[in-house]
Amino acid sequence: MALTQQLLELDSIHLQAHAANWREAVRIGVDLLVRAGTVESRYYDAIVRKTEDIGTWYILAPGIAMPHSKPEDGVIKGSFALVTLAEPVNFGDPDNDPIDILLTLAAADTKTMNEGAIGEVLTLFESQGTIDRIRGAKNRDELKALFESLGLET
Amino acid sequence: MLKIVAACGNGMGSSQMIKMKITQVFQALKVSADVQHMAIAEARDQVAKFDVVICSEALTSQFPQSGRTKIIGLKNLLSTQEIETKVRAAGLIK
Repeated sequence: MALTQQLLELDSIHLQAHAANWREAVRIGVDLLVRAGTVESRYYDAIVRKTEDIGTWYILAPGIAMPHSKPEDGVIKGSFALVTLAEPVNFGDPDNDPIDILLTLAAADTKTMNEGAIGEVLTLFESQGTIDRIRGAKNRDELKALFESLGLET
Repeated sequence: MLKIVAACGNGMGSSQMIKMKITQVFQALKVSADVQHMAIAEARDQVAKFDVVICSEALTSQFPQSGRTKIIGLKNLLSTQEIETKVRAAGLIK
């Protein structure tokens, strides 16, 4: 299932959320997937532990992060969650902070899901215009309309 | 042929994205390159096998800075521009 279609179907979306810091921001995204039954709660612990260990390797561009860990860290089913924050938070990346768009990625295996999924992430974040519209979206319907206008599957 | 490794925290996700972008850049430049992706620990162990390691700027300190392998840190993983600029600056393509 396409990334955008899956987000809407699993309803793993939380727009204009509030997080006091990066851990809370990551937590919101993972909790959406826990609620959807696609990851175990320990997936959050794995992301945070690794971040504390080596830093934020999953920040994609100014304002945008793609928190994720390995399949064996509690992934039940390959899935994505999209979180935007009303107020951005710092992850400690001087070039890209503060972050207000988080696309949580959970891959069930490193090969099949990822190769297609990564391409879809790149398509979604291809234009600054789209990124800004995602950032400003207030609700699921707005997001759905945006995806449709881009020709992405819903 | 240039041997490149895209590295990230888990060996999937970010490094696959970097690998995709590197491949796009080299295809557009019509330069041959062998591009792999792996977790940072493996990339570090095998660093001597590669001409260049490309990873998020956040991780460059994990690699030896001296030695023949060039380490390129990216601020933006969505940009082919940055990859091309830095690869040129490192003298890897004419």
